[in-house]
Amino acid sequence: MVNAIFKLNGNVVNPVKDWESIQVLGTWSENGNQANISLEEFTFVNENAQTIRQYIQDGLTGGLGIFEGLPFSIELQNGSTLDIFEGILDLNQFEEVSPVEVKCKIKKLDGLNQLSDRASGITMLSLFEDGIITPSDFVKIPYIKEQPLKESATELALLSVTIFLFIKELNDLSEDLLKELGVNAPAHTAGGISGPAAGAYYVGATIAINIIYAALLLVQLINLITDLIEILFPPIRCYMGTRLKTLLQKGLGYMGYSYYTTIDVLDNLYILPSKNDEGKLFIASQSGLVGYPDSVDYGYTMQELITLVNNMFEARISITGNTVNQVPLIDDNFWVGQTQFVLPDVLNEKKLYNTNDLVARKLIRYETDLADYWTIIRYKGTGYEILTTPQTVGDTKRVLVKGFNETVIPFALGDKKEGLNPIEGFVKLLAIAMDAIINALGGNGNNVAKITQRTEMLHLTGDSLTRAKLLYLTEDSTTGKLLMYDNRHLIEADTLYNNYHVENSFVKNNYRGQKTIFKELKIPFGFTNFISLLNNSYCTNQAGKVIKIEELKWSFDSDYALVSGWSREPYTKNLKETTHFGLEDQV
Amino acid sequence: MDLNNIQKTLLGTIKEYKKVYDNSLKLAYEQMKDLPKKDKEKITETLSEIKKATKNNDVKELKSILSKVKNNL
Repeated sequence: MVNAIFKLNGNVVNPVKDWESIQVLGTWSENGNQANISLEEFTFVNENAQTIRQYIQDGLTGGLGIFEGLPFSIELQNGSTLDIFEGILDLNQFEEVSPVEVKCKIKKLDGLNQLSDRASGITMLSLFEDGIITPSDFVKIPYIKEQPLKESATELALLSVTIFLFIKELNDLSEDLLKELGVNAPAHTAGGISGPAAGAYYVGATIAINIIYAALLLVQLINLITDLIEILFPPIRCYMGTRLKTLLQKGLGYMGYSYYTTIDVLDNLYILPSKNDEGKLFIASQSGLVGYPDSVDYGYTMQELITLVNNMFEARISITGNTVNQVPLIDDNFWVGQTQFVLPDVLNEKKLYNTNDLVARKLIRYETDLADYWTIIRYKGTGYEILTTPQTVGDTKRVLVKGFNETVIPFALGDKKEGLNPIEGFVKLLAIAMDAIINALGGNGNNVAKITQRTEMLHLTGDSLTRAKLLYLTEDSTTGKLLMYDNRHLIEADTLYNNYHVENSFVKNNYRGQKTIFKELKIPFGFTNFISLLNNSYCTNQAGKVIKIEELKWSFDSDYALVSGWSREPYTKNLKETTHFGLEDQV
Repeated sequence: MDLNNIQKTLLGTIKEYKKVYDNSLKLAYEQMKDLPKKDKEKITETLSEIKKATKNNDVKELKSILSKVKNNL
């Protein structure tokens, strides 16, 4: 006979009323791969009711009160002790029926529901104010303001004016210089020292003055061109951002968990929050500026960050001990490799197909930002549409493929500055000539580097961002700047589909998305099975085939359970996928 | 606006100015040949200061050398 031990606040208490017949409902939601356990309300009577009421009352006199769940656990003793439930009373769902009877739901501590609920209430600002996220977590993301080539007429006009002023300045300088140099030779010869010594000295001075004249002209020219380069080139500025994985690690650390993921891309994925003004000069101090997502950005709460990664990489969450795992569903090594439960071999003649999971049109897309035209001009990779249609059609009116599914990633992509625009090309030649002269004079001209080092980094058309960006950045080993290089494709919508969302494809990877479904299959079931399934909803059948359980209905006193789930099994090959990049097809 | 023309003009100007400077230096050394040793040394020293200021693009220093030379005339 199984004996259940109940503990309230760590103390063994009388069993809750009619506990044996309470039904356990385990579901595996879209946001996680670990069971969300719902139990009907527990009814606590007499001393138990008094303990709970007192706990709530203590909130008035310095106690923890109603907003911190009262620890509650259930152990199963059957020769050995098995912890089957470790959690809290969810006092948000508390009802006092009478002074000696209260009803309350329970919540698994470290369960996904609990994680999700807590994560929704933790904002980036609160993490920053509590010192969890610190200024050292923020990074400078360099950018250059650059208009698209087609719109560079303004810059060309600016260049015309600048060149005009430049030539005028050069002429004025020459005239001033000549006046300044004016050596009145005849007057000197007539009225000053005379004789061979004066003649030699005068020759020497004239030589020096001639060279100074030439040197001044040259140096002024060099300085003018240097100024010209500065005027024509908007300086490198920067905005503060934060690495997405750092935010996840810090936020989950605050919640008492470490973070594990197999998504390598996260090591280089940065959030550049929306901004309402131009960034400071890259070389300037950035103290006092923050780089976490703002309240107007998606990703402001921990729950949004977790959901973002789930949506981007078709990933799910599980909790192992104190570790939150966030792993793409396509990663069978992680998910299926952990199966513990083996589904008993029971007769099941019922069979359904997951035809409702097939959508004719899928769209994965990032947002665009009208404050940064590059998000529209370089649209490729921002959106990716996948159409699934029959390969062979008998009668189009009889085709049953239907529906639309959209995965929106509420961030804009960044675009990198590629090569030099015509004005920069123009200035680059000047810079080469300048550097050659400066070096010939014994100096160290480095103007070309100033121009060529401007490539590979983020460029923006405006001085603000109305949509936060997601950027894949790599640190340049020479300058230490975080640059984009050619890595944007690693997070573009088509890559996300081909690497991660293909999990649901009815065509690719041997028709991976096609599944046969079973519903409410009655299987022998007990406590140990319950524990096995709690942490991983994947199991195998007797033949070793992988099966995913999606719902479980079971009560403590029952020796069977009703399970619903699926296994992968192609049932049609008469499908094909065609893909489109959206706006790219319009031109 | 023809960027190529502007570019050509500016590059030409830079080259021309460099040529003037180089020629002035060359001429200076030629003219110095006939001067007494003491004057030659003094001018060599001034030329060295000018070259240093030119290398550093130091207009202020060049102007200061100029006024020194003028004051000593």
